[in-house]
Amino acid sequence: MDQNKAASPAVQYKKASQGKEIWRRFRKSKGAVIGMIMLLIVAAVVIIGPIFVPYELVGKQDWANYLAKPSLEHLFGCDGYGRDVLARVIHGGKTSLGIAVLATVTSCVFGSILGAVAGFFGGKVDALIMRSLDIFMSVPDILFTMAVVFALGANFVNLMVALTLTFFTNYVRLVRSQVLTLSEVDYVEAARAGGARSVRIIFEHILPNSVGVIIVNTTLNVAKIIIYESTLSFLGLGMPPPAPEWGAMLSEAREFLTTAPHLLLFPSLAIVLTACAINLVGDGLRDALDPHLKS
Amino acid sequence: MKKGISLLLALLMMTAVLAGCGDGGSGGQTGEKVLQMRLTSALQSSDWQATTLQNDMRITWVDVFEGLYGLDEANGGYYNLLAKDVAVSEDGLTYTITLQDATFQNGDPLTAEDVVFSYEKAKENSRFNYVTSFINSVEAQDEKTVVMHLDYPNSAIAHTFWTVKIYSKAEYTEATAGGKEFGIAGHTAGTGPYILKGFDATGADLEAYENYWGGAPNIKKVRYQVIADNNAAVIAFKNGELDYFPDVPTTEWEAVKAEAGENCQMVKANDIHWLAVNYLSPTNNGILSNPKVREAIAWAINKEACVMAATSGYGTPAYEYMPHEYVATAPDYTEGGFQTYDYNIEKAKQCMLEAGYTEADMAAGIPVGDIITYGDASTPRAKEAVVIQSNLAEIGLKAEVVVQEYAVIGPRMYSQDYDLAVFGDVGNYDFNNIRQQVHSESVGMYLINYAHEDSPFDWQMMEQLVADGIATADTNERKEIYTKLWAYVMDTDTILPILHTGNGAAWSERINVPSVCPTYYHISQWSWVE
Amino acid sequence: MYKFVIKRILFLIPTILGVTLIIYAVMNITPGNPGQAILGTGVSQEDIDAYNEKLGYNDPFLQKYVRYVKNMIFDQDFGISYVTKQDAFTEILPRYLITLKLAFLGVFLSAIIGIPLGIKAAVEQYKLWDTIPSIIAFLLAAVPAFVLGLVMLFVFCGWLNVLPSYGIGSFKHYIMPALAIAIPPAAQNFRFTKSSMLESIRQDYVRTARAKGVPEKQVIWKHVLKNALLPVITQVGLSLGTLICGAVVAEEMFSIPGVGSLIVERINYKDEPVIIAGTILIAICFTLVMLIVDVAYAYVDPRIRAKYTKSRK
Repeated sequence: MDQNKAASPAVQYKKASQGKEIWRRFRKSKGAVIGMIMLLIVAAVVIIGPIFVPYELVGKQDWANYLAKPSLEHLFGCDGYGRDVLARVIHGGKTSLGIAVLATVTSCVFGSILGAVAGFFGGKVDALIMRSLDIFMSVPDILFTMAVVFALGANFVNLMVALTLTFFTNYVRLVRSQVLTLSEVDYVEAARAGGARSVRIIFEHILPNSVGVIIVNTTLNVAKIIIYESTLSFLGLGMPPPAPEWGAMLSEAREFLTTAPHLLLFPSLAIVLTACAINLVGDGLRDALDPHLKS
Repeated sequence: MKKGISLLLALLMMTAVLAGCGDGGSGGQTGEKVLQMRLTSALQSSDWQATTLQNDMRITWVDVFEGLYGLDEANGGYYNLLAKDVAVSEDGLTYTITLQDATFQNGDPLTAEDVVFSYEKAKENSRFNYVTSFINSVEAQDEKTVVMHLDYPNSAIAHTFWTVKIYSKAEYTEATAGGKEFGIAGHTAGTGPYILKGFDATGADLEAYENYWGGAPNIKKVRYQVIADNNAAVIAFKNGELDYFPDVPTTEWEAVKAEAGENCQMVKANDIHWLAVNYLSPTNNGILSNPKVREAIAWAINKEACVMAATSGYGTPAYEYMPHEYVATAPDYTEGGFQTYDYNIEKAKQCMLEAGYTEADMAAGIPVGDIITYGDASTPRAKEAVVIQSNLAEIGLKAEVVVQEYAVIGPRMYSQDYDLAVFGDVGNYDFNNIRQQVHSESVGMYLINYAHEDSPFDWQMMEQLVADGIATADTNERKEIYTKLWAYVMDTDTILPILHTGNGAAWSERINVPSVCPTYYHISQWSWVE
Repeated sequence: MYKFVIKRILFLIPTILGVTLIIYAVMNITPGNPGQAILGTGVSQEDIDAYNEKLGYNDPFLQKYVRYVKNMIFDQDFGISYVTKQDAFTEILPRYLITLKLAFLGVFLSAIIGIPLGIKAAVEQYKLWDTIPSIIAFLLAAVPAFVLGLVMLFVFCGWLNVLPSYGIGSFKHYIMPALAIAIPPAAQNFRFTKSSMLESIRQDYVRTARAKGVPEKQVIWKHVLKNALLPVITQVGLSLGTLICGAVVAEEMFSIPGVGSLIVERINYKDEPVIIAGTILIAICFTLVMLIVDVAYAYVDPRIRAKYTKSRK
């Protein structure tokens, strides 16, 4: 009991100043700050934009504006149904980002738990989980996604399931190796020697210290998922029409490549800018968390 | 030192890859001109019975195999092909067919035995039930004469004569000895002007049959290349790698037209996209069983908008099940005689009010189920579904669009497990084919079940009209009967025609193409430009 | 060391068994069947059922699985395609080799573009060789591969007309698809190499070497590079997996008859023999590549080698 108390204050002290230190380092990197600002802009557009650009515009078909080029009235032009592209990009952001963030969170939770269990209990459990994972990873992800979407139809929930299945594997390995390395750290040995229960050790010691790595990976994964999602839409596995989702919009733009390139341009820009912003922030976080770069 | 080794390894790998990439060269040109054609996917089979995709049927049903009749697409009828003469008995139950002096690609002469054999094979295939069910027997009277006995007179037998192609009995039997399947490789079992030499994942090769009974074709070698992506196909055409480009994507028509100059033509396709309204759907307390609601839906569909979205404006709004220009026996909307619908929101709203819904109901939104269709989001049908969804919203009906693979949607449609469906039908040349949609025996083909126990429709009358339609051979009489039938169908507001697509074809300056037909092209009629 | 390699190769067996099981299970719960997809409309349900019966498709999935595995192990028979009725293995092999060529070319390009640029960027940190490629890499890493493919198709085929837009006739046919799938990983490799190099440079032993007066060039080439490149190599090896997936998209867009597009095409037909054979081949390739990467890693880094030759943790 007393020995536990002896272990905790050091950790807590570390945590308090750590946060501030991390933020300070983050702010130093120009790229990360720019990324943060871009991300905030994107978030603002996606969250506040719908107030200025009502949802009706997303589905409103205006035949006079069939494939209209960008103009003052329609900043991003109109698509093959005469719908305003700007409205669709803004509302599409909600869907695309929503799916990406949620899918990342679910794959993170699912994968981390599996990784923690594997790393902590070791032995047969570890071997079973890791070997099953290897087999699972040998099957190309496209296959799973196709199977899920094919069988159950393409909608928000099914896409989430398919994406989670594809991306959770990242976390298993990551968290497991974190658990393995951290298990050997002195204070954890001490805690264990003191008789602390496994769960407590995981939550009090290992997880807080892995959070950094997990957050960095999660951030980067959001970007990957956004891109993967658009690839799925391209293959016809994304959200069904007339959903204003960035990937689906790119798929629709494909046949108008030469006749209406603005249809390809704006959703692509949205994806690229968002993914870039996320990557910048993720990199900034990684640098901020890495003590080696303390020069 | 170690780095040196890894660099060397990398270089070795690179060379291996490069060396490997150089193989698989395409058709060795020996200076002979090869016609460059396009397939969108690997050829399904070299057996005419096993090809279901239009692109593949264009090869197996026209170039490789022939039937007793050929299809006269321009005039909406048929012409004698392998049947030199056809005589009908007074009672219409016996057909005596004299065969042409034709030979198979393997050299054997066309005999009555081959025809008997082919018809037997077709009868075994349930896919062709709709054209063979009424045939009682087919016999060989002598070398060149075939006698067919029917269960009842059927003037639509012309369609059967066109559909059933003739195999070389000897070659087919030999190829299937030991349980093997016919159609997995090239063969010489047809009588057509081109021999299918072989096919694989990259394409197919055809060679002219010099002893073709209709005269050797001008173009001797044909190479079909699989080009899955439409953008790539347009680029190939522009680069002169494609000589004939059928089904030009309507979004690219302007660009292709500019490239081809005079060598292109856009014709009305012989197809029909229509909205099936399942009156038996239980959704929202069976809202679709209300005839006024169905009528409202009919008035709400904006066909012009569908044409715009789905065919970039090159299609035409449809009012008939088969375009009267291509089907001689089809009802003609310009002559009247049946209900036609055009976009009219006022009338649609009026119908909704008469159906018992208030303005408030419509403002709040009345769920009406899903609009399902098959394929992917870029097919014209899916786009029509999106437009129709918006149209329905204008009269307060809320619907979701569901687009999935045919494997999932098909069974739903044929078992009436849907609310609204956008369906496409193609290649109908005799109005009798509507039997597939309105006759209770066409299970697995119809989308609306008119003969259901809860049906308010006079389906017996419909089936009687179908029977009457084939009882007489007079085209005008048949047209009258079918107009009555179609009028009744339109009154049920269950089959709502949307549009006929536009079929654009373009060709290079290397070839002369005398005419463009909506469905099949005839390579044997083309020639090289000298 | 050898024990490690043997163990990993032996692990291929449960991998193959597991993969086959997963696919049969997935095919079992998804709708559709070969008869329906191949025979088309209007065919009676009896005919469809009879067709499926003949193929052996209607058997319970465990039975199919066991039968398939038995055939695979004892007769090296991967089954007959439900669609083309040809031997699944002979049908897949040429297409598999094509996809491999594409994927390896992609890996090679992504390495040869990304790594040297990453090294240069690390060495010239904050100068032009760093900032410009970094910005470009950021942007490119965020562009979906198919968008790159579309743009390249448009520019190189439609506009400039220097490269073919479909097929596999010559080396020229492979350039665009390989580039399209290689560019996003190349950008990743660039960033990863740069950060790995930077991390290496800051290591204490580098400072020691510099302090000892070793010339800068030698410092970089002899010490930093070796340590920086190791994680990069693993990364490149791992990216092979992503590249094979990317190859599917490239195959579809450029009409390249590879195994990825074959599998995707046959899913609709539920052509189990072909799908399984194709997936197994991909899985084997993947496992072997990972094994080579791990062995190379261990071979070069004595610390890791020690871990493997000692008793496994």
